[in-house]
Amino acid sequence: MSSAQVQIYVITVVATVAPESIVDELQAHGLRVKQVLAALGQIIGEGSEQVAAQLRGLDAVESVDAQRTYRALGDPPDEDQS
Amino acid sequence: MFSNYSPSAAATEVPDRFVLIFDAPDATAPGIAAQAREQQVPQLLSEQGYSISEYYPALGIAVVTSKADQLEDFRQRCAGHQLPPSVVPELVYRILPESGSATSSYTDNEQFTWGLQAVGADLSTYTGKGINVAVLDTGFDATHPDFASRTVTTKSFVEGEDANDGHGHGTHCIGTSCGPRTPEQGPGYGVASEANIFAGKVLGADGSGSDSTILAGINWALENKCEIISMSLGADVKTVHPPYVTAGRRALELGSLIIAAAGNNAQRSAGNPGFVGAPANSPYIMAVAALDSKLAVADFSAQALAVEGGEVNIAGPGVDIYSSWPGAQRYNTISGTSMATPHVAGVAALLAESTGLRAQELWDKLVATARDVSLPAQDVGAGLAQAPTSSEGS
Repeated sequence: MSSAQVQIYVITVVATVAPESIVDELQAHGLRVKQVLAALGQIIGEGSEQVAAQLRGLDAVESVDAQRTYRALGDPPDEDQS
Repeated sequence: MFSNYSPSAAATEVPDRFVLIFDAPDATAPGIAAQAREQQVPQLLSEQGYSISEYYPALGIAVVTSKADQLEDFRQRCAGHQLPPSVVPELVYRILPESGSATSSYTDNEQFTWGLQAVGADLSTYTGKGINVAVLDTGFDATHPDFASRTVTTKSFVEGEDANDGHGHGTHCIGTSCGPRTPEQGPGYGVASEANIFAGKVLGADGSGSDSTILAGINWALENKCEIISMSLGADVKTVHPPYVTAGRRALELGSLIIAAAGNNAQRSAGNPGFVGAPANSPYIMAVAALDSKLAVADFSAQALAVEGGEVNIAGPGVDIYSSWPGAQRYNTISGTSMATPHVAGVAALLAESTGLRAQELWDKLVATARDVSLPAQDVGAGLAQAPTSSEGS
């Protein structure tokens, strides 16, 4: 994947920082903020791998993880499904 | 001639075999002297022609082979020496079945699905009343007649789709966790039949979703003070995904318990035990395996992964599970760790109601009260989740 390719990241904020308080800082580093999940202390945003690398260096950021996809687990192979 | 004796149905008598107890007949009186037990009694036994190989002087107890008339003669001789024995037939004892006459094979009947019977929801007086249960899945058919009288809150986190269930999986999972025990037609299929339902749509009509939708759903459930969050979804990846470590921990801190499907990536019949995938492999999220109606681990049910949090924590019914389905079809029978998860979530709601426990304490209670199904912990964790009965209220 190119470092310039844009993807969605989950930014987990350190426990002592309110996620709303660092939205401007994340945006200043190039993240396009899509959701602020206050109860979880997480922010969902869009950016390049370069942006993600910058965010990982911020004191208020605990982790930056590329988004994954998941599936419903009710239709396993080799099981009857009427 | 015999002492007070009331045979038990669980024990059977051995012909011509008797237990002789040389002790004071009154339990409040002191026993016979050590000298009598060690010398007189074995001498009397030998004189009668009984073997003393099964005489235990420290106890004053002998087991003899004898005809009844010979034994009566012996008893009178002993009485003449001030050593009258109590006499009872020897009994054969057998291992008792598990308490509660636990069954190891179930089938759907007119009243209840096999899953409800297996977790004991059919016998529980608890219904999850007052407990908020979030099911994060493919949405919910809010027009389903079995839920007409229920408190249901719906929200979609999938862009371009409303909260309606265009797949069926979500309505099925909600049915198992929170559906009715006495629907108008068919068997009861819902564990926590009076819980407040929070149906968060985090998977689209194609059955897939992303961190963006799932984490948003968890955040919403926490904002709504859901004590239980059920997630019948996953990805077949061995690495722990950090956002769910935080999410699971935050949920516990806020009084909520996240319960997730272990995964369907096993094919045990072909020698592949699979592994617990994300997000169930996060340390603060409870991972659920699937059992079939004979309480064997399901062929597809994933085994523990050797990372912190990769354990299977508990199991639930997950093969051929009948529950609600959207639209005119109304009901469907499907399989997966997805189906086991809402069974456990429903039981968690009943335990939350009956004990008042939340978060980590509720996790601990679920595990402590699970039924041992004699399968490896790496496959089923603590065993089959069990609903509280009325006598286990606290």
